[in-house]
Amino acid sequence: MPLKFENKKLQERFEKITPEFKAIMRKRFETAEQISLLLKEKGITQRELAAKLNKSESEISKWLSGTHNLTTDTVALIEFHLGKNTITVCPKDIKPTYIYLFAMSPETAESAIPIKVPAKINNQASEQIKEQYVFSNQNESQIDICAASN
Amino acid sequence: MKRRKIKIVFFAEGDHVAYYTLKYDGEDDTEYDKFFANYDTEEFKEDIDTLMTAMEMIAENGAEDRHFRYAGSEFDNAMELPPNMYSSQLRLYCLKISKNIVILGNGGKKETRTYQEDPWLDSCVKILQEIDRLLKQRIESREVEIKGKQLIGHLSFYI
Repeated sequence: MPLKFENKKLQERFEKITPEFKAIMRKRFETAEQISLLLKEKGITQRELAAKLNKSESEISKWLSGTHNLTTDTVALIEFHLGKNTITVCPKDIKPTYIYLFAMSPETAESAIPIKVPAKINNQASEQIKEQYVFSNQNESQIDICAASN
Repeated sequence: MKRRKIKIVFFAEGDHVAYYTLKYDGEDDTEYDKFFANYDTEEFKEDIDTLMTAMEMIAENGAEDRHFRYAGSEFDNAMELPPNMYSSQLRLYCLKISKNIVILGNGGKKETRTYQEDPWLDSCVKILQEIDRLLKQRIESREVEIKGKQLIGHLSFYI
């Protein structure tokens, strides 16, 4: 069940938050959740992790809150010290045949169009797709193309 | 100072968390409404987006201590939500009662080193600490019962 506010004004404001922003926050929460579960699994406390990484305990608390923007370097460091990957990555020997590109704008993100293209996609191809899928009443600059491998 | 009647009222919920706030007797707006009215501005737009999205994410799996930052003392449940606002200045104080119940109070822009140095922010935390103390008493005396996401019973206080 999505979050539901009693107050209509708050509900309307909540619904104005862009799907892109929510996707970013979701990824942050999921990453923090994964790290937190991994700490439990390994029986490592936040204090012990802080010591391993030479950081303060409050810094680790911030990382695990779910709203912090962890850098890839920080995630890699945590993974290194916990001995396990927290973010699933595609192993080197399994290369995707296709990737999906999602043409979206802030207004139309919910109805983003997935476009299946060969994995060898490059910036030039991305630009071509951008040209093809510019929405009639949008400026090209408003369209973002996000890639996700299948 | 004259004591005022204040009530814990329900205002939002997701799968695993119900959010309550505080409402003074005789006022139309809840404390969360007031916070929202003051800070849903261009300056704090991303903070409000972060706050509301964090509320949704927390509600999906339940409130954990790590989602909050302790604001009060070790003896109460007064906390900040979320700990990382975009502006790093806005503070919203709350009580994490259980994995399924969070009571949001009021807050504001923190421009002092500690919240205690700001009379308004200090009062926001103190009200929550008092509510926390009284609520614990009511739970112990069974005047208030926690049933999953529900707070049932006598939820008005004089503070």
